[in-house]
Amino acid sequence: MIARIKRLLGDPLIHFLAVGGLLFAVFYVLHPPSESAADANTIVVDRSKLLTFMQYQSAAFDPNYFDREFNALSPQEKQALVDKYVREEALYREANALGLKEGDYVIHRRMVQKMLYLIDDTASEAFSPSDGQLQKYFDAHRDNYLVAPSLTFTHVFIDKEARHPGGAEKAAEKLKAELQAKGATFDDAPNYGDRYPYGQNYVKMTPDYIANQLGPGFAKALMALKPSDHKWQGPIESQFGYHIVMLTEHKPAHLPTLADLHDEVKNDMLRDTVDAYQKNAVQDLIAHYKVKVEGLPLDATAKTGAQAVK
Amino acid sequence: MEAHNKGQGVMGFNMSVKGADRKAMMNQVFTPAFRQATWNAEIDAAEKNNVPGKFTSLIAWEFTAMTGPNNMHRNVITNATGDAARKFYPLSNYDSNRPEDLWSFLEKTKEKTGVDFVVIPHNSNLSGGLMFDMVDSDGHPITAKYARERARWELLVEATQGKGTSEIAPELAPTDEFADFEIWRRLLIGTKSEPKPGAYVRTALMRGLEFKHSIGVNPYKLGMVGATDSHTGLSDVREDHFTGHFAADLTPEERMADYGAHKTKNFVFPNWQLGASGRTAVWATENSRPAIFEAFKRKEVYATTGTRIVLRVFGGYGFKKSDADAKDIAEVGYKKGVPMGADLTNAPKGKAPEFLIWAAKDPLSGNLDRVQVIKGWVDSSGKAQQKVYDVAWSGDRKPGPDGKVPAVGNTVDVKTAEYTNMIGAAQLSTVWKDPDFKSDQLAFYYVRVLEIPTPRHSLFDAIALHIDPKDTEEPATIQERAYSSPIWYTPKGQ
Repeated sequence: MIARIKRLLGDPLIHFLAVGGLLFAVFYVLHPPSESAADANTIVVDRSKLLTFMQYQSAAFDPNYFDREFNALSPQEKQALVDKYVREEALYREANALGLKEGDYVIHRRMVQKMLYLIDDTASEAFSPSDGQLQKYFDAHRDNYLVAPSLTFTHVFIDKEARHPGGAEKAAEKLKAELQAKGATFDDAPNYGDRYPYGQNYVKMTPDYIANQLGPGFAKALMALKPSDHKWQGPIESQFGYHIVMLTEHKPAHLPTLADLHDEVKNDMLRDTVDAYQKNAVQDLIAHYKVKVEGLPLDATAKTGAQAVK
Repeated sequence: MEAHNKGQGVMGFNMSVKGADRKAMMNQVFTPAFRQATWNAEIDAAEKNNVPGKFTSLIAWEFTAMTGPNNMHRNVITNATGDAARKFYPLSNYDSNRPEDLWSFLEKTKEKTGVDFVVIPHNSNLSGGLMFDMVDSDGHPITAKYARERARWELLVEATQGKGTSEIAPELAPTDEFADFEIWRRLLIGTKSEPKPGAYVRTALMRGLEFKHSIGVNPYKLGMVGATDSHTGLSDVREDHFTGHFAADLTPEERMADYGAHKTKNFVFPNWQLGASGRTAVWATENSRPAIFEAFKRKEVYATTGTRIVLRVFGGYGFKKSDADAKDIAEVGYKKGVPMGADLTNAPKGKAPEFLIWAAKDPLSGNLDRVQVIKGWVDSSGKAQQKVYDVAWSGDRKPGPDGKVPAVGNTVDVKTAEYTNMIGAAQLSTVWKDPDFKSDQLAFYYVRVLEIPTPRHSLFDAIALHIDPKDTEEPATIQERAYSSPIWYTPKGQ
């Protein structure tokens, strides 16, 4: 919030004053009042108002773009824009004077929404956890940051549905022996075998990812192999056929350090903090109201507003 | 609660600032950017979860228009970065109910911000036939100008989602024996409505050809996508993972509450009538916003009813039979032809379009039953026609005299919801040539791939609840499927 106002006004003086025990903290914006002497029956139109108006009219927000657009307007076009603005402003003031916002649920909800955004922004602005607080949050939510195991392998595929004299399984056994005898490397894999619909090389992929593309049975069998940089293993059977694999890495699940995840953890903590702040702040606001439930036979234990009445 | 401090309380209005000063202050506080609170929250959610290479989120909104009881919803997908999206505010159905206004809004916003858009009409099956109408929003016959503006933005269409299939309905394709799939014969609010040509994608593609023939522009030249449209935030597209339409429908017991003696809630969206569908597959060069958006614009996408069938389709005039077995089949396809979503023209004399097609099963779902090509064309009277061809299938089944391959069978045990892959194929590929081609006729071709029958989500619920699957009022098994985007053939000079 503060950042937004600062950004807006350039260098304003903003003070937060605690109003003891009351719900509202107070901020002053010491800003030359633009309409302090304005008569209620005077509609003042200036460049900045028209720029804002133009942006809302076209539902696009880019001050520089509209600055250029505004400058390019002919005097007639500028007059038309002023007329449009005045029409809207006059109608708005009349509607206000007639109290038309009363009982308007769209406005009602919009006001509630604005209030919640004000509250959330207050919490966001105040958020600057110490290293100790961040570490404490991280420790309490460790499970959220667990990194799944990952495997790196390539495979040579023998299609069950393609023609292989003697059968696909035998063909796979034979090809495996050939790959081993030739000293075929990881990078040689694409030169052998049949077409596979998914990947060739899987680099640091999770068991879930592998199961999605080669089937759960394959993933399970792969997890049981010992990694080796030069050994062709298998064949492992999948629903598609047989896979001769070279598994070079199997990294178990692990927990990264806070240093690795600093920004992510901080963002998560911010979100939790804002959520909790909003909940409490709303409770505080409600606590200043006396709630009278009339003509409703409510179960005392089910009164949702009950805790707000102090 | 670190930031919450009772003594300080909540920042709010400065009670001592009055009158015009106060108004000026509030105008400054609620700047245009701040006033877009909801849009900003959407942008923030997309930005937070966008991890190029792993998980791409696109910034988008729904234009939730209704014409009476008829669903005219459109998804608007942007290629915007968070910063670019903050420069505009989406046009909603509260601003206008007319798609014409949406298109002109997109035109202007693109010019002002540089952001590009793709519009996706969705749930057209609940549109009462208005989504792909013969007239514009004012009831005037569609003109070339309208068709051009529409085709500029509306590149894709949703063929399948939770509230039913929009590809085609049996009433609109009496000889298509697979058309009766997850059909909703009601509008969004529950009113009965029989399938109409303006509500389904195949008939829209056919109308598109008729418009191209009569006014010179095709307003309905659409690639295919799928989505859930569920209101839970969950991608529950697998039959064994279905979690209902709303958060209150999470368990089998809650979903049963829509039925029988308990017909107390959710009568508009009875959960067992909903499908666990669908998905969009994208042939993109990388998993990132720009690459996926470009694939949308090329229509190089396809829809599935939840399964992850791999599907490649290329059209051309010079494929060899053996290309279907090529290890680098995609490279061959791009080299000798055009991919799904693209165009063919100028058929060489004596040649007909050929299609190189490759489908592979989802390792977590059933085997494949068959691959079909669905052709639409305009005959010499200007009327659109359709035909379904079986072009590849599992096992040694022989097509009947009508050209149709017999059913694949069904291995599902309705007591356990288990099935086997002893029938069907893991992969099907072929080169198919149109046997009925006429080089002076406008045409489109899209591919439909069917799986073998597998258990429907309602069967899993029936077993969990110990009730007769018939009490779900739905079939126990379904044939999941994929729909490719079409390839269009336009004769020279048309």
